[in-house]
Amino acid sequence: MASAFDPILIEVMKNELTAVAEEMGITMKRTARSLGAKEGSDFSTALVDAQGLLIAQGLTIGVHLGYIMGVMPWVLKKFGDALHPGDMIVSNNPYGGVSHFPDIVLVMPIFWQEQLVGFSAIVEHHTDIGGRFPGGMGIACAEVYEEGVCIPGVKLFSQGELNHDLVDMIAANVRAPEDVRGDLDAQAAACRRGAQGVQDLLDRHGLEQFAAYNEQLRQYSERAMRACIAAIPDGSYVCTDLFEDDGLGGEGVRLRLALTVVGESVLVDFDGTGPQVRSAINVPFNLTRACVYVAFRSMLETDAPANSGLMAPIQVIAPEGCVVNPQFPGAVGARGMLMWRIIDMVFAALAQAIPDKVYAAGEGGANLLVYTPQVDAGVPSMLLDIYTSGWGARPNSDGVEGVTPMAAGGAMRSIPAEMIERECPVMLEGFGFLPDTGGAGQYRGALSVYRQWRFLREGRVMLRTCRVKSVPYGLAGGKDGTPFAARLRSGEAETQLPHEMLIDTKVRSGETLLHIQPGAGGYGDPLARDPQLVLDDVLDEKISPAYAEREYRVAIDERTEQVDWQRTAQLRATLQPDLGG
Amino acid sequence: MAFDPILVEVVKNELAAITEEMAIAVWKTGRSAMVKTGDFATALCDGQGRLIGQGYAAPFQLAFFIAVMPHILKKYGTAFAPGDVIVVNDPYAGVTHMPDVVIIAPTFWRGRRVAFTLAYSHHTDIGGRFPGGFSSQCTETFEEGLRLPPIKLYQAGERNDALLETILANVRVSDEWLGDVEAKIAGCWRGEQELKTMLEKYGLDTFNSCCDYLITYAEKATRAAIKDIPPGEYVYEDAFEDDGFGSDGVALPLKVTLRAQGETLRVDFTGTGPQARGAINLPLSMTQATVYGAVKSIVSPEVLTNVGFIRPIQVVAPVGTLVNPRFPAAVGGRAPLFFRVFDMLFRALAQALPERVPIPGEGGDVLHFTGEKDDGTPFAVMDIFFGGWGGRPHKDGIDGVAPMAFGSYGTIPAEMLEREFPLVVDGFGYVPDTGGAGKHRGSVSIYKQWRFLSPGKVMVRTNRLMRASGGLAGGASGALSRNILNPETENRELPRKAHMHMDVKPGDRIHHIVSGSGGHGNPLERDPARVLADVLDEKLSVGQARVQYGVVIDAAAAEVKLPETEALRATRLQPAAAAD
Repeated sequence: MASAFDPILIEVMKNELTAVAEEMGITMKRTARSLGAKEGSDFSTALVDAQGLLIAQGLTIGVHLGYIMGVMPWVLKKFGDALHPGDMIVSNNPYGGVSHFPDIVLVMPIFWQEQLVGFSAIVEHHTDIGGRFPGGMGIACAEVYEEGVCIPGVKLFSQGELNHDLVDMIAANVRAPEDVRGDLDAQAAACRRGAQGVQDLLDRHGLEQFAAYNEQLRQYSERAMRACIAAIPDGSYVCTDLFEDDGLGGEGVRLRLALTVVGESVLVDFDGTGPQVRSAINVPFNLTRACVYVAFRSMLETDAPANSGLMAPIQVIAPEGCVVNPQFPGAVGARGMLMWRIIDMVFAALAQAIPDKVYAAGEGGANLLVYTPQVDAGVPSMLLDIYTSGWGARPNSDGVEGVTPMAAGGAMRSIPAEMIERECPVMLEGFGFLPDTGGAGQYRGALSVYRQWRFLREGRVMLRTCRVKSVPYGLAGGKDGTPFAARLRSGEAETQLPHEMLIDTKVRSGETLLHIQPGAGGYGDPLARDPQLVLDDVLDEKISPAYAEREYRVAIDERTEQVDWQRTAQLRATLQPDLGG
Repeated sequence: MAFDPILVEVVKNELAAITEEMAIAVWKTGRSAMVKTGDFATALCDGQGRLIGQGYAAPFQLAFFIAVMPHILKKYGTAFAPGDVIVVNDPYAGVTHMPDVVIIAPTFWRGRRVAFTLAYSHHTDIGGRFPGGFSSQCTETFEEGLRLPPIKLYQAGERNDALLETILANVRVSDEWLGDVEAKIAGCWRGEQELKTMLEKYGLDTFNSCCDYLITYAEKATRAAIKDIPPGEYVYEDAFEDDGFGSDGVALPLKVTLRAQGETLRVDFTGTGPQARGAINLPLSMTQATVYGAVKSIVSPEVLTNVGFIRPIQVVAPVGTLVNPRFPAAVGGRAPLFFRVFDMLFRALAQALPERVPIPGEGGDVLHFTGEKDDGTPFAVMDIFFGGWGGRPHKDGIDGVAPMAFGSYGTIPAEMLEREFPLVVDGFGYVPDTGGAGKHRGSVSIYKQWRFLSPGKVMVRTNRLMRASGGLAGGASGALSRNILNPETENRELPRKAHMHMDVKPGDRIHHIVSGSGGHGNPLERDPARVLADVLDEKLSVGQARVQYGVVIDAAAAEVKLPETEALRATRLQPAAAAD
């Protein structure tokens, strides 16, 4: 009975819904074929109601918050009256709510007592989607036609029956057909699990109560977000930035957002952002919006469930044809680079209003590597390698190290060396922190994380780094982070690879590639850092004693492994910390 | 059944009529300019999937169908139903590049699968990096567009809309794309209907016996023709000058060895260079089609290109070479190398049969132009056109037709181009003094000049920008191809790349010249009256008549000055004879 509000039941319902979404994720992880899905967890699950509004999201990629909600209007518009039990819709269309071709979305209508009650959905980043560049994230594409196979939003399953010919065709157009086939199966299994979970909930609670409590949860999340926004002083906060380049080595791309807070709601307007470019860094608008959502979500202090209520007070607009709202057929495969910058910009704008809540810049985005070994016959076993880096320092603590960017937060993680080496002709020779990197500060930015591969077969490598020119910035007196580097070693000879967001290079058997990701920015004056923390970093071999002395003015007695307080005092006396921020 | 030669002939001609009706259906209902110019073919297979050979198609196009069918049968085995329609464009499943989309439909009669009807056409686009899908500047098939393995577009009469919609989402100018596919399906269904009528007349056993006979007959006739080739090895070597990217100094080795031994012919490409980085590679099916197309020219015309015809011919193409690349090597721009290999095969055959084998000729150049019209609607147009034939042992090459490799191709009329697309054909005609001189002259160059009315992307495919079509038996080479931008103003020679890409703005003009073909026999032996006729037809200048042929012409009187000609030729013949 939906008569009286039952606070216990709502908590139960909230956790049940989240559990269903997470079970979808577990199903995916356990049954997927690709390393990116089963180890890297580069996917997200969601449940939406019959109107397409988010009711639950699994513990997955942060920036996928609201992603499915961007796809649902297309699904409902096209299939509104033509949905049946057992149907499953597949799409990777960036001009239909998805954000680039390698991300394939499956949406399954959920029926209960012959009534459409909602949808289970999953988006996963596939190993390859064909097109000009292995991985489908090449930057030098001008049109989506170059970027791989487009799946426009069609039924993969019709009343439980798989469209084999469609799958055959998709598989014929990708470089990793076994991965794609296997992952599509896993996605379908996850959707079925989600549908089953929701049906079980409905069996227990009935539709009326289910709907009523979903509405309660939605309102709860909306109230939480409104309170969060209300805590930001009213006003308009503008952030402008110049993105590295236009993707083709040309001029930087002008970025601008104005964040206007009025009471409990906020308008984020990208007017003034440069026009879409002739490369693939354009960010489809649904993803732009998701970036803004996740930035606000990360400021929320309460444990509000991820549903459409969170998004209600946030309005995002961007002029059509700009780089964050491109028009067909603009290429978008490499949107992962500019995407992270949007999140940084939201934080940078908010830093003007609430400096004590905003973080310094992280490494710039989820960096990755695509290795396509050459094989004598058949399709190569590609590697889409996902690995972590670290966050910018926070107003009250260090940047977390060895994790994916905050906005990718949650379940995404590095693929273990053992898995990579078993499945692909590559040896992981190194993966770790690089000492004396990152930005010094009262709170230190994450160190650079490096990863080094040795390739056992000739092939092609694409390496993505998001901040190649703009070093991650520090905040409130914290130092900027440290730059990226990539080196290719062949025997004794070492080549410094260019400062490009997407390096596309041939490798020979036996060559090694070292990728040093940017170190993150620091927060607050380094001289204000607790010398004890500096000592910890020295003992952890994250910084050297010399670096401690140079950057933090902290002297370490290496023999006793203690802070030399006297010398530290002398060192610091010569320079006063700038406590003014 | 007792063999009835009259009945076989009747059935054979009925089959030909059916494929022609299929072709008429495709041609009348097709949307693209390509279909309207004849870049398509239709054919029939029997119930076992054996190509009968009767088709509205050039021999090499029939050879595509021969290559495709085993892949279809391998995938589906016996899983065919009435109303199925299979679509395929996979260069690693018998098709030769992805813009060529093949439609195959099984025909059922009284509950049994009795035949397949087939149609293919070259589509204006197939998605991928470069509009048109046949640029050579790609390195993998993945880059070239949408690859369709054998899949069913219709399953038992029901269209797979999800599949079709996905295909259409991946091609430019998708309504035209669909129109062409529907035209081919209509053609196949037309063939099915006619076949059923025919089966009602003769019954299945008679039909099958006739198919058996036509296949066996083609094999026998081919064996006989091969037997006429003096036994031995005939080697021809050439080099290809473009790696797909128009890199400087490229000379990719090409080699073919024909070994005629009794009734069999072995065509061996060993010695041909490794597959190129760019998309100029010939998929194996294309190499085979090229061989079959060339050998067909020495077999009597009534012999059908079918599975019997190919049996005595063995094609050896080492894996990983230009003529049999490994997946996923790109092949979209395979046409220039196809033309070259075709030419090589003729020249190798000419060593064996000098009195019978001509120079196949030049042409097959293409303009591909895409953009948006003034009202914002996208357009894509392919204009394909030809040069003509090379000199033949006993006759001149024909000017202004498709080379011998192509049968049915034509040129898109200027009026049609101009009505449907934002371009104007400023001029289209012969270029004097460009045909390879010979006792039998090779075709002269053809020029075409387009003026573009909308901004857009242009790709020009050009054969023989750097290596001319050589003469045979003492004949001279034809002129090279050229591309000139804005001849009236900047008059700039465009880069000599087999596939040249550029952006054009309104008012830009491209003046394209297709190469001339090589001549056959000593030019000094050419009948002066024919030289005069060429001069009067403005295919040859008075000056070049003298230089190339040693013929002196009185332009005003429009006649040959015979005494001067004889005197001039006498001075030329001497050193020629000495050098012989």
